[in-house]
Amino acid sequence: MLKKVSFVLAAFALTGLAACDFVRFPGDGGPTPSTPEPGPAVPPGAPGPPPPGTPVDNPYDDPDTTTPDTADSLVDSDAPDADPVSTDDPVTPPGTDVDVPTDTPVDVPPATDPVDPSDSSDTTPDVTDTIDEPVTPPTDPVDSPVIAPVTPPVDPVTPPTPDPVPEPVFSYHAPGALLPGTGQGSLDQIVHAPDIVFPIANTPAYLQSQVFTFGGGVGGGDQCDARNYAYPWRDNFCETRSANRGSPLCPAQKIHQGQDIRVGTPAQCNTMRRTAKADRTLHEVVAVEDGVISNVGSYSISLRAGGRIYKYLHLNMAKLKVKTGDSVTAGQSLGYVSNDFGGSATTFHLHFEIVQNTADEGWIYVPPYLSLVEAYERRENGPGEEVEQNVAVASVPFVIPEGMEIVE
Amino acid sequence: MNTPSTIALAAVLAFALTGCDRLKAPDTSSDIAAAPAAVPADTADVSASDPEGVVRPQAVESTAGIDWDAARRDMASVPSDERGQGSFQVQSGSQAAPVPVLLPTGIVVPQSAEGGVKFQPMSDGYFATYPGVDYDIVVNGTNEVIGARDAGDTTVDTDLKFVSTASGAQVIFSRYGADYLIEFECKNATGASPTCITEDDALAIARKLVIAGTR
Repeated sequence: MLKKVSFVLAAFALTGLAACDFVRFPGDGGPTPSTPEPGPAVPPGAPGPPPPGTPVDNPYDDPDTTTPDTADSLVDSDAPDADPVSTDDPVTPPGTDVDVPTDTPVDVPPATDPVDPSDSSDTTPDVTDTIDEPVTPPTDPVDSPVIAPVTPPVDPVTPPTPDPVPEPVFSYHAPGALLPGTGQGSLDQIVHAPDIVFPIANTPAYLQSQVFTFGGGVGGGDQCDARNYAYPWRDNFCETRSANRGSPLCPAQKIHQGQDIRVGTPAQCNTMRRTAKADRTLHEVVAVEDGVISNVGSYSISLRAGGRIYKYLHLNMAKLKVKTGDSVTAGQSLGYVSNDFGGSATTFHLHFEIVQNTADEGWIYVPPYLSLVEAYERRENGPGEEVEQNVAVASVPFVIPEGMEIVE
Repeated sequence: MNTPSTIALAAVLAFALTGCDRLKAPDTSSDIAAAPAAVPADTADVSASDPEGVVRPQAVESTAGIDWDAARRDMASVPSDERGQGSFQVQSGSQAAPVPVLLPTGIVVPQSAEGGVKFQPMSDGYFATYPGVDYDIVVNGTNEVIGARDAGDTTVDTDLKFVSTASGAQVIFSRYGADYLIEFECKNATGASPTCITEDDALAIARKLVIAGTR
């Protein structure tokens, strides 16, 4: 009797062992966990496929030569052999000034060699295109047993494709990086007016000095010069002026309290030049924020919006679309770019200022540059690219003639 | 096979049945534990290298505290006919601007421009515009502050400060915890000479401001 019971018990146990998966996962209509997945065999206990984006090395230990305790050192020891970046890095070393094109002298004193330091960025291969793989120096041979190269098994699961990197739609010099010799830029570089609308509707815009570029009082030449209509942008808040105007955010006084914005194309510049002053309506200027027009001067209009006042100078004052007391919404047209400057004239551009009530200083002029960079990125629906400052090819600093009156 | 052997075999098999999962997938538990950790780490890397994820420091707004008691005391000491309201009525009480309203006195507005005098309450303060011959005067008040002001500094008055601008001049100061800006916008200025008011004249006008409205 005992023997019969034993046989029954043994037979039941054998049957149960064979079917144990179904016993433990009742109702599982799919393959049993022991069913091999398609693809190469994976040694028992080996790590799974690497997560997307991580360096692809041999994730599997050689079962004949290693133990799980040495897995980390093995991964590192494979890196130098597999990394093509370590020996043939194509990135141009900083300071290299070879292959600098000479046809984009936007930020160059017109009287000097028209080579812009930012141009070197054009010749620098996009480092984001290179393989972003950590370069591991050769490891200690004691910790890294020599193993035969193992071809990583093909990952059966396609890793998610990373979002494509958006192409820059414009470029700009760092905030505070004024043209050499034109003053010291503001040290307080934050987005003082987040979420503003760019003050120029639709037309290409170029932030740059109007005094030290072509057509300016110091720069000389013609304001419609094609070289004025090119990126990268250049901050000119805190740029040197003769009048005693200041901001606590500038290292020196007698400075430019706003940002100059050149607009359009060289052809449009010439068109405006041939158009009667009162009829210039090529480039629309818009409200950057909801607010109220608090003043219309002889060549300026002020937009009050909370603890900020935006000032627009040199519009075509004969064709303004607003008057004092008008409520406006962000993006609403205010008028047109021109060169009105009271009884005199300046270059065709918009001079844009932000007066902001700050906790430490009260109402002061703040640098608009970064606020405009972000506004332009939103308008153009693409990122701006900050160009690297290349000291090796920096332009010759301006020397302001003694006694010269710098206005605008 | 004798009975003890059969019993032993049965016992071994039964024990194997109990641990069959572990026999078939020895490292399952450790893999499961490791998997969730890998996903967030990878996600964090992607976001950190996202080129659109450029985060630039931004100005942060706050609201200044106002010393309304001091404002009311000052207003009570000013005769109503000296409050410089001109052709408009400044609201008081709950309808008033969120800062004490300061307005200029003793200024001359050309008769032809009297219609241009405007008072505009704002959600953060107000502005008042007075057209002139040589310059317009715009008085701005606000309780909106960019950046955080130390607690205790909210009611500290500051001295008048004159600043030349590209279109005229301005004077700034703080009173009752609010911040004020008086703009002098030149009417006949040119690029070569955007000057229409001296510092002394601008400061004299600022000193003649009187309180014309409180809550």
